[in-house]
Amino acid sequence: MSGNSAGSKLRKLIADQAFIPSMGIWDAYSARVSEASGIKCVHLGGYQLGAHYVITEPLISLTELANSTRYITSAVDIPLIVDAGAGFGEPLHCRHTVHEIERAGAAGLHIEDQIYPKRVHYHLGIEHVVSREDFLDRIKAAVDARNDPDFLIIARTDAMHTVSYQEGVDRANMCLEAGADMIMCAPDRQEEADNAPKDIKGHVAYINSEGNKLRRPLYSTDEFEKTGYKLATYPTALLCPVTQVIKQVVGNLLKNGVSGHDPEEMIPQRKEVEDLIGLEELYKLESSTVEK
Amino acid sequence: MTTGHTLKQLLQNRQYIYTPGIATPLNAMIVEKLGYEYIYVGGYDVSLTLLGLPDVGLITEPEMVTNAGHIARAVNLPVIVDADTGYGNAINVIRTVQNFEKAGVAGIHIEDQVSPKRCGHAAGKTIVSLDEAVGKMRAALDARKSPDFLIMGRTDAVAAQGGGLDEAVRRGCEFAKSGCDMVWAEFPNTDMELARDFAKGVHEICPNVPLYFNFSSNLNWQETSVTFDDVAALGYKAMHTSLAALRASMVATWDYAQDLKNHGSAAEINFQTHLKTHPMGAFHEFAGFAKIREMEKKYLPVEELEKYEDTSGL
Repeated sequence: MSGNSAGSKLRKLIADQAFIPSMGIWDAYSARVSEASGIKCVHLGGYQLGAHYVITEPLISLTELANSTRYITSAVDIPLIVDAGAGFGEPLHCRHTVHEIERAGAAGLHIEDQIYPKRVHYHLGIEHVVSREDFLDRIKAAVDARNDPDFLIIARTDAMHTVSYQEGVDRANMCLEAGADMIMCAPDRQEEADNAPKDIKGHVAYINSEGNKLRRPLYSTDEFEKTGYKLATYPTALLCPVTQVIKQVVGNLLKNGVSGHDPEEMIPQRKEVEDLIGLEELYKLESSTVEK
Repeated sequence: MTTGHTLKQLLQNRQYIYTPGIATPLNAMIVEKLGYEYIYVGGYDVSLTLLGLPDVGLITEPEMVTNAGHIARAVNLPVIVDADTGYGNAINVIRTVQNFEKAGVAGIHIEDQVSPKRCGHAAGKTIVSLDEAVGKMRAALDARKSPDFLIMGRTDAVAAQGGGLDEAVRRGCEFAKSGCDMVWAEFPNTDMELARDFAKGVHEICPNVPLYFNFSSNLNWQETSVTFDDVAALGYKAMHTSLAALRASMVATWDYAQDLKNHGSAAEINFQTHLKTHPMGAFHEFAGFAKIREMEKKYLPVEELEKYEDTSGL
């Protein structure tokens, strides 16, 4: 850990905490509110960002991903992990992806073994993976591309689902040998999910995908720690409930003519929003200059 | 009337049209000033000019679209933009077409290389299957809002692995049959027999589809006597010289900077003398400051205009 970079902060967390929950956010505000609520690490997932832009993950370009990363890393001090999908192409595109995302202030990113461009039907649990060799080439290029040695390269394999559990474990261990700092995987069955941290010889991150059609196993933070996972992402934990709140409020307004909020409760809630975006500090600057 | 419509009329009414390939709004403004009738924006040109990166599929769709939108705003000419492979598969193509059309350009070309792509004249090109390529063209045609937005299908089959001239002709015809407004094949050399056989092959089956030609700067035209008229006589309706503004500005910038390095202020003085008689010498006027002053007089309160009194500057 060489300094105060975002990557160093994440590595310090990895050293200090047995398990790190990394909340799935999609913009600067959802990241800021998560940080203010006490989370120590946030995750910009393709699932959420695809929904945020309403174009789905396979259509997100590196430009949009890097722009979103910049906004988020400007808004929070805690480390951000970025989902770089399939790395936007071949090894040389993975290299460019690492350059862009690291420069945008992320602590690390994950690159997976799905084909590029990704297909929308990965949402249905149908994925295609590239060969072991092509995947390793992506990861090696990513490892070599980072400027800050603390920038975290996470290799994500989907092969447990598309090929077999063992293929996923083998790919994971090959990536660790090739220099990946962490493995992200998505085992389908409970037994596999319980075994993955033992079979994979390094740090393992889990995708705690609530609402998943395949009913992939879910864990509590205590269970993650006991099972041996180092980190988990929560792609839907915020996105789904936020959707329900929007539906409810809009529904109220259209049905009853009012949003349904208690006006008195709204006063502190609105103040909280304004505090979260840092208005107080800006008032101070204005009062001491142009509004003197 | 959309610029796409203007472009289609040009293709109908002119024997052929040509233009230098460019990268930026400024390049486009200069080309327009000289009286050209359309603008061609190349992917290699934009990738190197704006990002300092080679043309190997690193530039993204939003980067190309943003730049294309600036160009479309800066000139009143139809703008054709290189959309590479459409930045992915047929699904990506849909969004690519929507965004370029919204940016105000007249049309784009989409090629049949495997994504991520390589420069049309780089070694190691691979192409997608005919079915996949045609699927992408159909997706592009279905995605456009205006039928005047030009969709050009480009095939890189002539020099790609598993390709060849026959395959290129087959693809050119299929692109035309699927509804592409124009068809282009990339040729690996200046052998005009290839260009003639391609045109002949496509026009035998699809006689009405206009063909596009890349008078590529990567090919050694100086070893030939081929003229634009010769190319047009084979049946090509439009063509550009590739990387034109890129190379010209690289050379001009190099020469100026080298001269400045060697001669210091004397180089700047010489350059100023040169500019005095050069059409681009009055570049503040070209930039449009005078027009802004006029608009200020028209729209700003009188007291705002007092800022110009007793000041000097552009």
